[in-house]
Amino acid sequence: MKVSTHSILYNNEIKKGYFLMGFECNTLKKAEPGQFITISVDGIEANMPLRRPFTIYKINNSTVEILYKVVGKGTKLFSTLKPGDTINILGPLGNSFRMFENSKIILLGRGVGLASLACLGDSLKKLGCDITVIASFKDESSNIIDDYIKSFSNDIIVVEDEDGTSSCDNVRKIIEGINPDVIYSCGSKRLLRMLQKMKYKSYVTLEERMGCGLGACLTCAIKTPSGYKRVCKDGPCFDVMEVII
Amino acid sequence: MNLSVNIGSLKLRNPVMNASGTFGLYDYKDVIDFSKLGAVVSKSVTLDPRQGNPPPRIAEVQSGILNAVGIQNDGALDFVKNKLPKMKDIDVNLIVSVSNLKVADYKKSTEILESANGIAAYEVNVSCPNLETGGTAFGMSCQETYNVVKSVKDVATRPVIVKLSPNVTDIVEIAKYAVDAGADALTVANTYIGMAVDLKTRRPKLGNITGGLSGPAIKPLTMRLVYAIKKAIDIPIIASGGIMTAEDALEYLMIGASAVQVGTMNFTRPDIMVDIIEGIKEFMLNEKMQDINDFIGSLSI
Ligand SMILES: Cc1cc2nc3c(=O)[nH]c(=O)nc-3n(C[C@H](O)[C@H](O)[C@H](O)COP(=O)(O)OP(=O)(O)OC[C@H]3O[C@@H](n4cnc5c(N)ncnc54)[C@H](O)[C@@H]3O)c2cc1C
Ligand SMILES: Cc1cc2nc3c(=O)[nH]c(=O)nc-3n(C[C@H](O)[C@H](O)[C@H](O)COP(=O)(O)O)c2cc1C
Ligand code: FES
Repeated sequence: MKVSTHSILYNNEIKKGYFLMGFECNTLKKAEPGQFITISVDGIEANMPLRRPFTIYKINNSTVEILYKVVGKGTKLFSTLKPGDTINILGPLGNSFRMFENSKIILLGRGVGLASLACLGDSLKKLGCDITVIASFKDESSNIIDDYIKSFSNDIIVVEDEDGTSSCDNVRKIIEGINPDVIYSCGSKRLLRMLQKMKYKSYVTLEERMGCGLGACLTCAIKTPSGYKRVCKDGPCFDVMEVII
Repeated sequence: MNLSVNIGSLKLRNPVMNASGTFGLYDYKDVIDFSKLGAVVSKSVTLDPRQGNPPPRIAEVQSGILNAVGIQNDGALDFVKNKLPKMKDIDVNLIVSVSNLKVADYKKSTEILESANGIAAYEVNVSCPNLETGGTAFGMSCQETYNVVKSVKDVATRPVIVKLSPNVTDIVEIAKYAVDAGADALTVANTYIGMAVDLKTRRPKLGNITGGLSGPAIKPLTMRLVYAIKKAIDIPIIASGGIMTAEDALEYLMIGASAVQVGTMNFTRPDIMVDIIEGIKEFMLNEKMQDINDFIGSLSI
């Protein structure tokens, strides 16, 4: 794991408010599904001391991509960056997802949380898994499914708030209909609580505000039955039964 | 070119070290070359293990951050048994930060640390709440600061650095009590109590509601404290507050600090201390300065 500065190759708005940023980074080539990086931009330290964490969306040889939603000051600034501008990267950080071969998998993502499961889906596909994506969005304007997600999915089921299909009840029925071996989830505490009550082996990747990202400062704590754990080091990937939400 | 400085009897190869709680020990080996640093300071260690505060524990504010970690740690015995041995082959002075909620526990945890090798000095953090007097920090009272420092000094064979709280009416007065109790040096200072709220969720941004403000926002405040103490008392001072660059570090040295600690900026760039040390060397080269000690305290009024 290293701190290093990289040139942006592209930073495209793929949907209003959602950006796909690509950059060259050899140290991330061997990153594993679920791991993340933190980013800061030169010259802005005075007003943004904290680095922003993002899951690695896609690794293609030495080109690494993140997919992010503009939500605040930092992501707004990132969205203005142009090819050739530099960003400072720390990573790969955190643990990775437990992997399974030849299994029936559901990737359950809420909003931009789906981005944190993409790299995983790609790897699971290569291990012979059958992958159903259940993508929960507010409405069509936040639907971020792209060709990459389609490339590893055997089936994609979109549920939305607008027509009520994203309710826990409905999502539960869909999951039971599929009867998967393993579920991976990101982006919703509501869905996480639902998974904790279901019988399936389930994993989640969690988000918490971070200081160091390296396990030292203990600011990224989440509650577990055995005390506080660090999202940046003990996670971000957890068994759903291992966390108290 | 000489960058080495003395903090009492403690000799440092250069005046730059991390601030407690913002940097790792052995697990940062991949991130930074420890042999380039003046010292490293551990996260505060208490006698008994502590769970810490409910999350969220950190929030970014204008030019700084608020934190309320709550001194989460596994206790002094675990530190000596499991953490200290991993520092054995790392070539750097280790300063262990000691914190507690009762005066007697300061003594007991120092005794445990005394039983171990590989510690260069103690930094006594007096910014935590004293449970025996209703929860205001030890460091807010002259007498309680004296009691804590005395109880550590009674058993310590290593230099004792006292890290003062800035949340006081007259820090010079408190510094005098710390020195009377035997402090070999002072770290000035810790974080400033603050608060931030979220308009959208209508909740405090920290689980603990209030937290400590650190980062560039506090540099002018802490600079004033270092200056005031230096003027009144002849004791080595380690400055801690808002250092981001070599210039910030040099400013503190110029007003009389013998060394500096980098805290929040380690979050922005975990390898920043090496850059700061290089920046100090470059400044000395440009100013044709042979010894950093000639520069310390050179502020003209
Ligand atoms: C492990 C991990 C992976 C993530 N992966 C992605 C991803 O792939 N795509 C994506 O769009 N977002 C992702 N996020 C969330 C992303 O980090 C935040 O949206 C981003 O930090 C917001 O920064 P900001 O300055 O725009 O927002 P602000 O609200 O201005 O940020 C203020 C502070 O809060 C922190 N913060 C705000 N929201 C979050 C959050 N949800 N999680 C953690 N810290 C937060 C910021 O880092 C910053 O320190 C991830 C978070 C974590 C912890
Ligand atoms: C997340 C965090 C944790 C901290 N933990 C401790 C601690 O355990 N003990 C202590 O004495 N100071 C602690 N501090 C205070 C720092 O050591 C330092 O004095 C303060 O942050 C000011 O310096 P800075 O502006 O360079 O960050 C902590 C600060 C932060 C940001
Ligand atoms: S962010 Fe510092 S321990 Fe996780």
